[in-house]
This record gives sequence, C-alpha cells and structure tokens, in this order.
Amino acid sequence: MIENVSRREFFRQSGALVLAVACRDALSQPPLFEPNAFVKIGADNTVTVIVKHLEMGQGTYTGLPTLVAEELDADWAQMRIEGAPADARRYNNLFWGDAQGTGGSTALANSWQQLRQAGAAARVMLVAAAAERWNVPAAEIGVSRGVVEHKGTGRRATFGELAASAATQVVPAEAPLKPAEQFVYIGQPAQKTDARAKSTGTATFTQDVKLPGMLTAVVLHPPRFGARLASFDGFKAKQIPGVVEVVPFSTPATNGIAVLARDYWTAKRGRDALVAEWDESQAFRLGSAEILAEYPRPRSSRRPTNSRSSRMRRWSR
Amino acid sequence: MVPISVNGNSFSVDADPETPLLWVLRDHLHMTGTKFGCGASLCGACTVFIDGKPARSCVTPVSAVLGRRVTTIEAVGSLRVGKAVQEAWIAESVPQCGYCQSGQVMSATALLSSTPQPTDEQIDAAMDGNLCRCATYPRIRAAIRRAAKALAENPPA
Repeated sequence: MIENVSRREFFRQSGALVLAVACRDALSQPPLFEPNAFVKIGADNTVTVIVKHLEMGQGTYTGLPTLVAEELDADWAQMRIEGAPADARRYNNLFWGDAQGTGGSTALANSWQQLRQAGAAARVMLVAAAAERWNVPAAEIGVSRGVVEHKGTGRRATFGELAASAATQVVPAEAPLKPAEQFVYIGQPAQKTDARAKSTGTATFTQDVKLPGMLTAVVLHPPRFGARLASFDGFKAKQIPGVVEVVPFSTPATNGIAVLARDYWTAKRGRDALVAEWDESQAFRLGSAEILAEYPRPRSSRRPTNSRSSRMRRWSR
Repeated sequence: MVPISVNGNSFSVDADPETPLLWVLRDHLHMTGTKFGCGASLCGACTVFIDGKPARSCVTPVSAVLGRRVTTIEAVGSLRVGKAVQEAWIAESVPQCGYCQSGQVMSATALLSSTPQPTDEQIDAAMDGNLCRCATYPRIRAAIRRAAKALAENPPA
C-alpha cells in the first residue's frame, strides 16, 4: 500500500479521488502500476483505463482512454478498457455531485481534466522510475508512443518494464499537462477500442449476463394502461417443464404476472399459457380519433409555431 | 433431447423441439453472440447461417435444423470471407452500441460469399433486413466495400 501526504495532496488538487493503491503481494501478483483510480499499467505493457461512464455506442470507451493516452504518451495499441465498478465516491460524475452516472453529453467534458491528470501523473512516475534505473536526470528523459527513452545514452524501456519500479515512486504533487498544440491523439480519429469485441460477438451486453441460479422472467402486462389484474389462473403455465414460479405483482406504475423459468423460451411459453381477467373500469380507453378530437382547433390567426407550442404544452401536462 | 450441429460441434440439448434456434444457442449452449432483437424476423439481429445460408434464428424452430450445419458469429471468423468482413468492421470502427452487429456481420459475410464485388444497390438490397438503431449504415457500406477489396487483393491460395 502506497499512501503518503503528497499523493493525497495531489488528488485533492486534481479533483480525482483517492483510490486504494497497489496492495500487491510481490510473490504472487504480477507487477502492477496503479498510480490512481483510473490507470493501471501491467508488466505485459498494457495500459488499462478505468472508464467511469457507460459505453452505449456514444464512444466513451474510446474517447476517455484517449485523454489518458495523450498525457501518458502511450501507444494507442497498448490501451485497454475496464468499466468502473459501482463506487460513487471514486467514480462519480463530477457534474452531478455524489452520483455515478452517464448522460447529458457529460462524459468527455467532466473527464477532460480528471483523466488527463491521471495520465500525466502516471507518466511522471514512469519517468522517475527510468531516471532512477539509468541514473540520469528525469528532465533528459522523453516518452513517445509507449517508449521511455534517454536520448543521451540511447537507453529505452517500455511501460511494462518500468511498471514495478514506477509503483514505488512518489505520486507527484503536480503533473504538467500538454499544451493543445502538442496533442497527438486528441482531435484525431482513432480505432474504437470496442470494435473488435462488437464485431466478433464477444462483447457482453446486459442480456448476455448469466449468474448462478439465475431465472428469466417474462411478464404478462395489462391490456390497457390502468387495467388491474382481477383474477388469474397459472395452472397451465406451471405444468410446463422448466417453469419455476408464477408471480403476480403490483407497483404504483403498473401490475401484471411474471412467469419465472430456467430459460427465456420456457418463460415465454408459460406467459402465453396464463389465463387472466382484467378490471378495465379505471383503464385509459380513448382511441386515436377521440384523442385528436380533444385538441383545440388552432385559430387561423395563430402562426404555426404558436400552434405547435400550445400543443406541446398539452402533451407535457 | 434434440441433436444439433453448431460451428462444427455436435450437441444434444434438452429443449422443446419448437424452441427457436436463437434460444437454444443463447440459453442452452451459452453462445450469446447471436442477439435477440424482435423475435419476429423483422430486425436481423439473430442472423446465423444454416447450411451456409443466412437465416433468422428467432423464428427457426430447433427441430428445423436437424442434420443441418449451423454457423454463428462465434465461428464466422474462421471463414475466409467472415474474417475479412470482421477486420473491415474493425478498421472502419463500424459498431456504436454494437447490439445489431453480429447480425450485420453475418449478412455481410453471406453477401460477399455469393457476390464478391457487390454494387451499392446490391449491398443495400442484401443488408435491407438488418436494422441498426445507431444508424451505422454508411460505415457498414464502407466496411463491405473494404472487405470486398481486401478479398479481391488476396485471393485464396
């Protein structure tokens, strides 16, 4: 465990939150350099960025690691991604206070400083490790595309080779950020980090998650908004091999019957075998014609824009 | 028990014979690369090959593939054309959310297997049944053209 005043000070200043670091068992674990909550560098020379925003096709798994790669001077090919765990203290959306979340086009904007500083701090520590190993001044060491180099002596090392000793370096109180004119990756097209997994069927979507003992529920919903379940018969559903349980449920928003089974198709067959009676006395029953008839006719003197906005107000009520 | 051949391997699954192939793949064989989109043969997310021809697994009962060869996204990369399509998909960064892309890759592989140099019209016609809500269509077209070019430049030995 590396913990010292300068590291706390760094993270307080940077806005990044402190992390549990490098609790390594030197005998059993591969050397790992984890300078902060967002960057891990392995002995295998991979740089893993912990991405705190969900990837839903908008590109967070590419855009956010770009910020780290830029300040770290990493090679794009060595970048890897991990989704952040649920931890609103370390991985909160800085614009949303204590909440961890993705939305409103905030991902890149609120990670801009945080991830660049995370990458810059890691770079400083890698350079310090190289300076120590080669016994040369850190200021004479350069980093480019994942290679740490001392031009004067021609010595070179990869991040992976320096990871273990970088982990023992002091976290810098300040890590300088690049001026925009020196950007190599930011502003340039990049191959998406998740393109291969999503092109080969290996990406994991929510629907692909299987947990031990997990059942699948398929729901019989009310036939109309506001209809209430009056009675039901789940006997036939329960006769289907693989159907585990039939569960009526009610929430403030809706109600219905869930059929739980060991797999989707069995649950669906069970749902289709349910017999249900619904009380539709309080249900919404208007059709399109009745709904349209409720609209006020726009006055001919009104401009179209006003007419539309008045309709929008009706919708939002 | 239903016997089934997927990606060159034989399995015997404990499923109702009417169970769609999609759910045998996903729930019984735990091959989740093939996706459930609409369940009604409308979106193409569940596309697999049956005896080398694209088919919608969500409406194909497992009993209909007895004695036939099923190929899924998990193995399409072992085919020369499938591999070229996947590499082109990666090079063009086609996927956004990615949910439909297994089906897109399967349909594109089927197209280039039968029509190595498709016109834009042939691409649109062949890919018409595969929906993408992220609207990656322009990159899908570009990737198919890229794959066709790569395959033409590197003919099989």
